[in-house]
Amino acid sequence: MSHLKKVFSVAALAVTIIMIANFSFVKAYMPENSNDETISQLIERLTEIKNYDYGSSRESLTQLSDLIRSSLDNPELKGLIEKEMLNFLNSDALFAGKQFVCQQISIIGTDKSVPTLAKMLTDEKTADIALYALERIPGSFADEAILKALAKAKGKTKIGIINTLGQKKVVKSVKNLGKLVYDPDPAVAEAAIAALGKIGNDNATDILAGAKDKISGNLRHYVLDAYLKCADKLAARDKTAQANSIFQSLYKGNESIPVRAAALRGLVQTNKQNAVDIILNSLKSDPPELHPAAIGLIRELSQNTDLQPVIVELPNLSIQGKIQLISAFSDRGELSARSAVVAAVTDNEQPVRVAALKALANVGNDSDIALLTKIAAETKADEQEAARVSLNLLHGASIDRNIIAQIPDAETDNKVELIRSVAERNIVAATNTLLKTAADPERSVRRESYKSLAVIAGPESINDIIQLLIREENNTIRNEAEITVVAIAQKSEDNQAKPVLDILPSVDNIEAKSSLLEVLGKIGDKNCLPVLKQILNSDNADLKLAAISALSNWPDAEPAHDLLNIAKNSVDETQRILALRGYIGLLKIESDRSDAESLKLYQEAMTLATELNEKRLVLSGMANLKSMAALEATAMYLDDPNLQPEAEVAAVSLAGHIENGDTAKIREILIKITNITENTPLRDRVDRLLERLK
Amino acid sequence: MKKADNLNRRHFLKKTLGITAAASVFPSIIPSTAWSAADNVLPANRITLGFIGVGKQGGGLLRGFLNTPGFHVVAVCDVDDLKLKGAKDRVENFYTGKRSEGSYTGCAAYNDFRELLARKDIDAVVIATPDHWHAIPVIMAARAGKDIYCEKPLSLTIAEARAMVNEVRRYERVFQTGSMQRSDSKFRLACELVQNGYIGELKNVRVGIQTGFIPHPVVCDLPGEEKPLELDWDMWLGPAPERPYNSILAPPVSYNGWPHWRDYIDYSGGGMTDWGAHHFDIAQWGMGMDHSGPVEILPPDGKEIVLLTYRYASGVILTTDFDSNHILFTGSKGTVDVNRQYIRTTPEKLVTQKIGANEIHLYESNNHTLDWLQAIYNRSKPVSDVEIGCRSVTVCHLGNIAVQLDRPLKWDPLKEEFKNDEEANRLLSRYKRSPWRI
Repeated sequence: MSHLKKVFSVAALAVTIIMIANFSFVKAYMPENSNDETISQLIERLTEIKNYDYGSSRESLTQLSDLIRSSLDNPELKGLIEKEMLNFLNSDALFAGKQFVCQQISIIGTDKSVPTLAKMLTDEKTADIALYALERIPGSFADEAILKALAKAKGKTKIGIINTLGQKKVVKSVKNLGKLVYDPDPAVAEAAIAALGKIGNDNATDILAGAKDKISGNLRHYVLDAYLKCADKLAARDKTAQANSIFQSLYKGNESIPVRAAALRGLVQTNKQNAVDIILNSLKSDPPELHPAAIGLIRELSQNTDLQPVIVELPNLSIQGKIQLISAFSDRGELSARSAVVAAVTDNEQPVRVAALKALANVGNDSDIALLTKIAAETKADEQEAARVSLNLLHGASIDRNIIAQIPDAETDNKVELIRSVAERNIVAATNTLLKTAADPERSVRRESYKSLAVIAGPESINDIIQLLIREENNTIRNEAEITVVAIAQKSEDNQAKPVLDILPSVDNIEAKSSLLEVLGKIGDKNCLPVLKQILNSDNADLKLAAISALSNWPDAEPAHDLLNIAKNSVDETQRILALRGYIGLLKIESDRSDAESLKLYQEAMTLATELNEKRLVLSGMANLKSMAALEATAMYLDDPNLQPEAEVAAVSLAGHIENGDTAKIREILIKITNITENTPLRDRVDRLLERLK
Repeated sequence: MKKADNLNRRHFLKKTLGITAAASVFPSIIPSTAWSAADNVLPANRITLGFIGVGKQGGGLLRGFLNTPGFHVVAVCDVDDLKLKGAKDRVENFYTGKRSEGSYTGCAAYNDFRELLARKDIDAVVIATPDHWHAIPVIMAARAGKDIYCEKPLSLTIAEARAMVNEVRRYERVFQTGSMQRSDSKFRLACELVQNGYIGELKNVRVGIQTGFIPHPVVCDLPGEEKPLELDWDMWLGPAPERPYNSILAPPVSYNGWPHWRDYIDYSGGGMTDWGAHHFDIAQWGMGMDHSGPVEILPPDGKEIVLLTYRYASGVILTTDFDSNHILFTGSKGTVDVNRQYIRTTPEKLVTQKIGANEIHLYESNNHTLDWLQAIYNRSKPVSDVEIGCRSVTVCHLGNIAVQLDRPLKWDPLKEEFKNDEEANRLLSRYKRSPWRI
């Protein structure tokens, strides 16, 4: 066994060696083979692209991109592709193809591409496309080639090269660029200045410092911008003192406001321990145009900065300054500024008061609840809105608790505002308090309580609210209570109408009972239908009307037949009209009925309608259909002077929606409308439809 | 631009606009019967505006800004003279129509935005140029001390976006990115529900970018056409690579659709940066990633990765499709699905959820234009501050780069560079045709 084992082991080893050898062979051969294939495809594509020009299909270009993309993880293949693309650039291919190939080289190009691309820099026609590639090729070889080309370049090529040197931050180019800062061609000088700003090393900074004192006019603007960038870079290299000195010189100098603003920002960032003093000094000494920049910097200071010196300055600022500073305090959530902001709530200028009120949302505390409530209750428009929003957003662990606590003893108007904020703040814990205020003697308090309960109260409170509704004597407030009961019922996952259905039999008051029937209709729970239908047979006319109204609001067309019956058979005119209106409304609800069936039902409703209003409702419902028959039926009413306007609108709507209709007939109807209508926008629409029908 | 072109253009300008083509059109004095004494002096707190780009989007914005009290449009700029004239006329008709006496100095018109920026009496600019023309005017406007409203997507490259942030900050400007979904209460509520944990722990986000444009931009192969005299084509191209004119890229004033330069890589990031700049923006907002971004981007690989996918450091996975239009947040307890037409949630009742005072309240803006105006007055950051625009467009560009290179990428949102991927890092910026630079 041991011998056999040994034999097998040797054999296994041999097989393994052969396999590895084969695999290595395959591995060594395959890529080359695969590369060869790719290269031959590449050459094919490049041959096609040689004659590519704008307007030819981009297919070959896309295929070339795909080949390159497939080579990205294969350095050897990538090198081969680069080589072939360089051959292409050296060929007599058209510009458009070379432009595309340069863009591809920009992604995979290496030092090997540099000589060819550098050569292209000597030709103004190809310089730009070469720079596209060179700018993305990293390394000093490319940098030096670009720099070398600078010496002989002219015009736009020169500017492009300078821009690329700046973009690549080629430190070696600083000396050359320094000379070009004073070039007679302002475009060249401008480019050189910008490039130095991007490089931003010590030498570039020195050159720009000198230029700042020598260059005037439009170019000076570029010098200062570049100089500011150098200062930023010094600061980033921890050369804070030098950076600060530059910022100081630009800030103190007689420069433009934008430059001084940027310098002020630099000053603050490089001297954080004195930032507040710097800002304060600016507010006290600088022209007002600089104040917005100074105030803006307050937002960037660390949260633990002591802002007292600036806070004290608030009353001395201009209106705009006050608004901006208050806004900055607000954005920072600067609690230390609260007293100053509260004081600004009584400023003489309304915009300042509004800003202060808004800011209290972020800098205020419990003590401001009463103030905000009072202003919300006593003012109008912007101030009221600002106070309300701040009361709604004021944050802190005890704010909600304090709002609840203040409600019972608040004066009526204040109480209303506090109750309003309960909903906006979603203070669920205020439910019991509002269940009490919903019975307040003041109607405004009751109304607001119901509104807020609709938001915060859960299904567990519904019985209490139903009881309140039953006891409510004022119709308007009872309507509000109905909305609240519906809203709360709909928060239950199922059996939404159960609390109302349970209590309904025990309610004797007709108004309250009618109100609950309305509620059932709005809930639309299928368990309510039998109850509502049963009440249609009631002897009590008020209850019957309430049931008709409830069924008219039903979410689907199920009660339509019941309403139609009443519309047809009731001797009571009010019931008949109300039921017909409800019926027409239910017909409008989307259903499985065919358009033909719906038309028939509408036509039946039209025969029942004795009043114009109902007839108009029918026409408006018919407008939603999409059939030729409906259009023709509607068109019949174009000759009825009382219904003509509604018939016109309905017919035009129908004509716009009919597909595959009788074009001649549609045109005939539309032409009739255009001749008779006095509705100009409608006539325009008809004209467009007629145009379409051509 | 060739000399002959210049001569032809000068002739055209003189004929149509009555001006010389020294690139600028100076304000005309309009003996208006409509400029009331009260309005003759601009109130100190009215913001004077210059419009750069008054085509399809810029024209729409112009209408909105004209009707926003607090702004006063004093200049317009475009490289297409007919669009420029239309905008100038509209502004002048608007103001002369509103006033009853006095004289009105009219609205200046420029072909070159640099001349508009040089005017010291202009407080702020609205930039609605094609995407390849965002970074340069934004940066120059910041240096000139103007506040800026710039259309989305913020930039053509990631490097441009960061440069814009730096310049806006350096000069302390107030910048609003045109991602106006941030001023729509549906999107705000959606993000507040997510951030406050109403759908439990956020697991994944689906961003649907259904758009009329090619999702990932392609090489422009449009043929050259005869350039219309009213257009300064060289200026339209600006920093983009040279190529001949085509009307698909710069359609005439009579064309009322969205121009299709968005399909082409030299001018845009395609559908990804078009609707992507809106919807990734909301995704980032909901995730609380306004100052960060994903850490990994996985292009579809035909195997496990079916859709363009992003992974965030929190573990949240964001996937992208191009046949829906919405943002769907999925958490451990529910979902929030939102677009411009609807907000839907599971559980359904979340839609009416009140966010409590002590919960996270996101920046509330209900009007993108007024929010910018308010921020200008307050010197505060508006709802779509430049940093937010930068981070949102970065997500779009990251997706495009991953698809372009067709490989998973690791992203460092702090350093804003790819980890160990030189080729991807090369795509962070691109050369600008001379003489343009940022």
